[in-house]
Amino acid sequence: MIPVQDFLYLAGLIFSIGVFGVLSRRNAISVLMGIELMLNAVNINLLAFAKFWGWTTLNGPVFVVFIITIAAGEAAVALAIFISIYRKFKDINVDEIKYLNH
Amino acid sequence: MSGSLKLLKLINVILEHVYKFLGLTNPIPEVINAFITAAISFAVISVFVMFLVWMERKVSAHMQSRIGPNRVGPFGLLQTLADAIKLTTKENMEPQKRDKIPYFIAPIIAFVATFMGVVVIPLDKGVTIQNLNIGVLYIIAITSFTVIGILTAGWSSNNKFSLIGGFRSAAQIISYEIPLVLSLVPVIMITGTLDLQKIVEYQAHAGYWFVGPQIIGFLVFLTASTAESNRAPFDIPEAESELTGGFHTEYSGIKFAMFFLGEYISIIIGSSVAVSVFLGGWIAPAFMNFLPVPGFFWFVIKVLLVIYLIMAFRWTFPRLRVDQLMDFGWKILIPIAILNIFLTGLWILWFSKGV
Amino acid sequence: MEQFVFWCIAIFIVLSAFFAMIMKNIFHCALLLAAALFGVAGIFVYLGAEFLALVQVLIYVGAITILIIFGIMLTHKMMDSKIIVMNKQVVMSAVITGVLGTLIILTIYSTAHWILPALKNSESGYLTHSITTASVTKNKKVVTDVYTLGPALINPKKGFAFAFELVSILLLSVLIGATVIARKDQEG
Repeated sequence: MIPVQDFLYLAGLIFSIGVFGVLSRRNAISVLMGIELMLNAVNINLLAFAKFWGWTTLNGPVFVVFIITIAAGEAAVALAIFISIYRKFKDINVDEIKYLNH
Repeated sequence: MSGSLKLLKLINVILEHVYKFLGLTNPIPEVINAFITAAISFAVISVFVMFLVWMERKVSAHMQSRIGPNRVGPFGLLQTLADAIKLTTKENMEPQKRDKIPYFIAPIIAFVATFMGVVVIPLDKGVTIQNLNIGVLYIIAITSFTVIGILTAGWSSNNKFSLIGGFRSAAQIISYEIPLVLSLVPVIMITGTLDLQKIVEYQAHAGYWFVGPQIIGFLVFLTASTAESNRAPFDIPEAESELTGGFHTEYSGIKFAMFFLGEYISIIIGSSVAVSVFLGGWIAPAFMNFLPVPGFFWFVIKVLLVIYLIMAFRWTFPRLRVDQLMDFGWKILIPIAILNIFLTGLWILWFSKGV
Repeated sequence: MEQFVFWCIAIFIVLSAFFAMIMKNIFHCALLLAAALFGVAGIFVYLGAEFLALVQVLIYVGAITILIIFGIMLTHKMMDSKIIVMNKQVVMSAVITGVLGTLIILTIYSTAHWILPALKNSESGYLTHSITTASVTKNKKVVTDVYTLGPALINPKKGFAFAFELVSILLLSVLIGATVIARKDQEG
């Protein structure tokens, strides 16, 4: 039986890696990847705690379902925005796009 | 069914004898057991695929009033073996400016993803390689990996035909995955389980096959799974008149063989799921119940029939254009599948007591 | 054995996630991200949530990663790898991430010792019944499969019916919004 802390350590590491990606990458798609990693770390945490409480409540798994759904929607909208930005600026580096109107 | 072959138990017994012969007394480690089962299933599936390739050539020959392969072995049965030997010993040509690691792993991803779906298919009463209580979802989830393999192949070949082929293929597979899943939902609503084995047992108890009440679902599933495995009339990704060879243009030798094998395994899996969910799996037809044959026999017969149907599609319908393909998937199949779910829901609500 | 496989998966996830964040070729990053997400599905199996593991594979690996790869293909030139991928604040963000990660791990480490007394009575290291709620239901195990998750999602009294409807509306607006934004012939 793996103790609950191990899952939390793993989730913490994945979350930190995701934060690093969001803060340091230039490419918008890479930033999106970092966000997906952070969401996954949260999912691991939710399920680990649901298991820790002996599955007496379903709040954790239900939240995981909602997070996965919203992550899918978020990725779809984000990529639509990236493609639309790419058409206007020919680039999707987040530190070069300064104007909201063009 | 008394004569049903307990495949896995047989393998286990043989393994135990081998173990005793080697002087080991411990129970067989699960890992080794799993590996051996995987190897055996791989061998069986490969032989079956060879038979299917032969059958495909014979069927197409018959439909075009030709004879088909008839030189190697009886009825040309060994023709595929000869082709396989040719493929594996061929020079392995690779584009110089390829993206090395993705180029190497793409066929592996595509092949392994489809092959893993074999695990949960109910071969006979109580006989599956590994029964899961969420089998239907497992097959759908694991086979969605193929798209990554295809996109990787298209991208890493560094060739515009491959890229466009991979793009089209991925778009097609993702689009047709939706009606595929939606056509299975009514059956899951009626049986109340995602376990393929239990779905078949439900049909055995109920005394009818779901192809009757769910004929719409069956037709949608058959169409969508034909499109999923990139077969004609949905073979636009590799339409040779437009795109040379699609995403595997730059692949040759054993790597091409892996894509080829994966494609046929996906046909096998598609028709096995169709048989298990809609055609009663290993159940014998009512009028042939007295025959003392194991359920496995009926399962194979039904799978071959469905595969024959899919092969016959190839020579019956003309190839669609890309926009027609997308229109057909999104504007016809998906609404029909959703309507089917709605009607089944009403039927459950009004005519059946509980689920 | 269980521990060993768990740590193998964990190291696999962490390594592929890390390289997905620092590699230069963004297509390789996307593939490594897919590998990491698949590993997370493996962790879900370890947590006893097979259904969610398959949902994770189906949606993250089968849909989101493919969307990302589509995005990459539409916005990058083939084999375009000789570009600067990190922005100017890379050193600063590395420091911030290091501090954040250390904080998280230290917090878990200290909390793990703090909660140990609560676990003295359980053999497995997990609570078998709720110790905070008034209605203690011992050994009542809720399995996370379709039969329990489905009612929990749409049960109007105890469940999450309102959130479920909200997510449905969100998905619908995402569908329309993404189509409108990415359309080619839009004005200005």
